[in-house]
Amino acid sequence: MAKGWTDKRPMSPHISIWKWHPTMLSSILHRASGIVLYFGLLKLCLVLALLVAGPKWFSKVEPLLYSLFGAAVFFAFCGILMFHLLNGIRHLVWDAGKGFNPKVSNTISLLIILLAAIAACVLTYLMVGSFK
Amino acid sequence: MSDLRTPLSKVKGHGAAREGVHEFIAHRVSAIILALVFPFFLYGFMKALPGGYEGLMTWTASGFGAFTLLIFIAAGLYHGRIGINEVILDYIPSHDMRTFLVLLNTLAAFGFWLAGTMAILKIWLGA
Repeated sequence: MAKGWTDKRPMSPHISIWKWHPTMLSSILHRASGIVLYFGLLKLCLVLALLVAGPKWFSKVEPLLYSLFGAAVFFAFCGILMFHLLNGIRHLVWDAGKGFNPKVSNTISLLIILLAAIAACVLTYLMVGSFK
Repeated sequence: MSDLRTPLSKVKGHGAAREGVHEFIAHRVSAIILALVFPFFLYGFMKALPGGYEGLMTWTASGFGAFTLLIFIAAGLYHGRIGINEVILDYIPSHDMRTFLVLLNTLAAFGFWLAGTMAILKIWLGA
């Protein structure tokens, strides 16, 4: 990872010296989900621009949007968004100086991942169900 | 107050970068805004998406929907730009590449924000 690193200061975060545990997983997922959501926002801006371009242009992406692939993307984004939201709220609690007990943190990490998955399932079920 | 840092730590450049408080606070403030506006965004999106083109246009053209989208996009891209910058600064080894990507990220965030905002305003005010 540090290959080619020219800065004299040590690289952070120090991934290689950590042991795997749920809170570490949620921390990594928070970064990964944040990156994905950024591209999701860019996509949202593109869809808005397509709306302005008119129904003729929007109809070109419509079949892709309302397909099995579209539902899968919706499911993924729902899960990622819910995870980032819940974990983000936990980060705010951490910023307030609360919730640093490692055991409780690990439990909450797993709970957040589980809740995000459930929310994604429910939202996708509602969305796909409302098509017919 | 006396300086507690050893000369060696200064020479090696260890220690905090002494900047970034602005980003730290802006990141959290935008996070709170996003968390507050998210329920409205989700509700509007879930209602509008099944309607296809018409549904999305109706949502964006309504004052409430337009405001929801404007705030969500602005706070989201601002929050995202800071976050992606942090990732770039953490993991890109080459100084030149880091500078280039941070610039690109800033331009992308601003460009897409402008495009999205103009689209929302055009649909909302033009309706």
